Amino acid sequence: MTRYLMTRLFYFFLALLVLSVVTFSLNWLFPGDPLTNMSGIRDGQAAYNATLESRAFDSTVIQQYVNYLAHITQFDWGLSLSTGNDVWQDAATYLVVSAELVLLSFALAVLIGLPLGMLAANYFRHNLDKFILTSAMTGYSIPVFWLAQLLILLFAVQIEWLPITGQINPLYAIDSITGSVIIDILLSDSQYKLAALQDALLHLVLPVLTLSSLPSMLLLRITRNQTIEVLQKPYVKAARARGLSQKRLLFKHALPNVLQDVLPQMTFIFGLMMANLVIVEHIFNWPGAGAWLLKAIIERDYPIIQMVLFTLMGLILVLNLLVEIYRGWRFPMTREERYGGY
Amino acid sequence: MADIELYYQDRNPSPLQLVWFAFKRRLAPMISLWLLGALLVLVILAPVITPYSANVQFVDAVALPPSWTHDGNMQFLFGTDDLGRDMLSRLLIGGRFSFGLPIIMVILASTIGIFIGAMVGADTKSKLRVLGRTLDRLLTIPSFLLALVLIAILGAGLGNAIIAITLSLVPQFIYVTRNAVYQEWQKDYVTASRLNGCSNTYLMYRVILPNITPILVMQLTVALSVAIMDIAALSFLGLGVQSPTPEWGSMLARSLDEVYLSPWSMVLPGLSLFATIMAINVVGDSLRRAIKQRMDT
Repeated sequence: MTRYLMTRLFYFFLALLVLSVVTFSLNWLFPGDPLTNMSGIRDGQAAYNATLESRAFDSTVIQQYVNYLAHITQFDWGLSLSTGNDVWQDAATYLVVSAELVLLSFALAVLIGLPLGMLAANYFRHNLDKFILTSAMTGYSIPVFWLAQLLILLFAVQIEWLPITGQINPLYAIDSITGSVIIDILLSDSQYKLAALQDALLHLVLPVLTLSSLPSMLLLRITRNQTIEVLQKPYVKAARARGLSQKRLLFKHALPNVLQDVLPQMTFIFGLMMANLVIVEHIFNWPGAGAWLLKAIIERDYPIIQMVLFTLMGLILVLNLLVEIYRGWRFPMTREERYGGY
Repeated sequence: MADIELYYQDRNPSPLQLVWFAFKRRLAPMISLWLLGALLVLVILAPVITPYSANVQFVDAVALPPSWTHDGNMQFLFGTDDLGRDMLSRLLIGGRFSFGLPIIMVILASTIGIFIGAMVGADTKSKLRVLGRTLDRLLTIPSFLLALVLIAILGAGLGNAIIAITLSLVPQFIYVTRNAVYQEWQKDYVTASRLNGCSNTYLMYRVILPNITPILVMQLTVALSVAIMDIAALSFLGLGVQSPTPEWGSMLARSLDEVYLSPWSMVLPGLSLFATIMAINVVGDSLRRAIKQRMDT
């Protein structure tokens, strides 16, 4: 396990390093002065010469990269080009806002995808299986932005159950402390706490539903295919011959082996959510990192673009690492496949 | 007597043909395939068969509903948008950007990706192992984020979106090809051919390539649906195709403001996008099933 852990960590940090090289070179690829792109301080400003020195711009590229690394490990991503604020301080709120959305959607996706996938596999080739599979295919093919528009049109405009966009009705006057609406409401001393909470949850329904649709359908299909494969294995037949009930068979014997192969796909699903986050936040006017990134791309605010992209991609790598460690710890035989082969 | 067989002929269908035989037997993927073919013809013929130019405005027919509704007019089969432009013409011309362009982008990306992937996969005693493993990790990053990075560098616009999406599709092709080539390389028949003294080029094109074609074709369908989704998403966000040019994603973005008054301006482009992606996914899914069937037997 130690050796497994070490190699996983080694490749994780190597991948992060490659990612930082990419964001570092973005400074030169973006139009304009690399130093301005990196630190957000324009030529002619008082701090320009000091930054020139601290970023080692009078030295070699290697030295510049080392200084860049030192800066980003201290979460110093420079100043925003459009507002002049420190990027990382602004980012904290945006990231928490997005984290709330992503975590809820991810949980919903797992809650929908896994059980339905198992159910479909249990009724393999029955009508129920075909029905679930067809709807999964449909849900998988709907473009996220169109689904969002359809849901808004149906639930917010036609039957007026849910609000259209935004996080919460501004009349509740909840101060943003952490960024996450739910935590903010619980922390606040508003006298309408329950009503505010209800309003915030209603605002959350549509974005979460939209963001989780594609991952849940993908997870459903993966789970179904994997379960069908596992259920055809001899040990399942043997367990069935011993007279185990179907329920026990599915959950005690098949599920762990299904999870073993579904888990690595989680990273991929999480990555897709990160990409869709930009679109969903744009449509629902959600003040999160995705919408912030889009705004930065349109305004050409390079420090923010770098920071958000690095964080989103870095998070995918972190999840990848966690999944691999958990998989190696929970299912020791998967460690073997890493040692052998190439 | 023409059909006397003088010599015993043993016909071995290629792996791709075998997959095709399995594929042909099912109804849904065949319908999808015909649908895609019809769409391709429509897209190629679009400038000839559109009733009006895509950007001409009819001032007397602004926001006209489709012809099958009560207020509709047969002159405009799918109605008009808020500026009085014919929806049918815009949808057809938009198909060139939403469906035609992704096909070209996927062909380009696959050519580059498969070539590199085959070279890397054939390199068995690789010293690039560490690099490969690191890249594996970076590949979990979805192509849309990569496209966003490239758009951030290049700036918004149709040309830049094409470059960004094409480049962001390449890594997946490298990955799939490398893995497929690597797996085949271990098999006995490749060793046998190598013992027979085949050159590396012959080995790659005549021995391994036919056996990995089904997997590559499947990857093509995946990439195509991703490319269609990506270009529509970029245009929807205002980073791809710019305003007067009709494209299904940008038409959807435009309909955001008017959907409450003229829902058809949102439903029609979305439906065409959805139907196209669905058809591609159905084809890709049954290809995967056919490949798996062949592997199992």
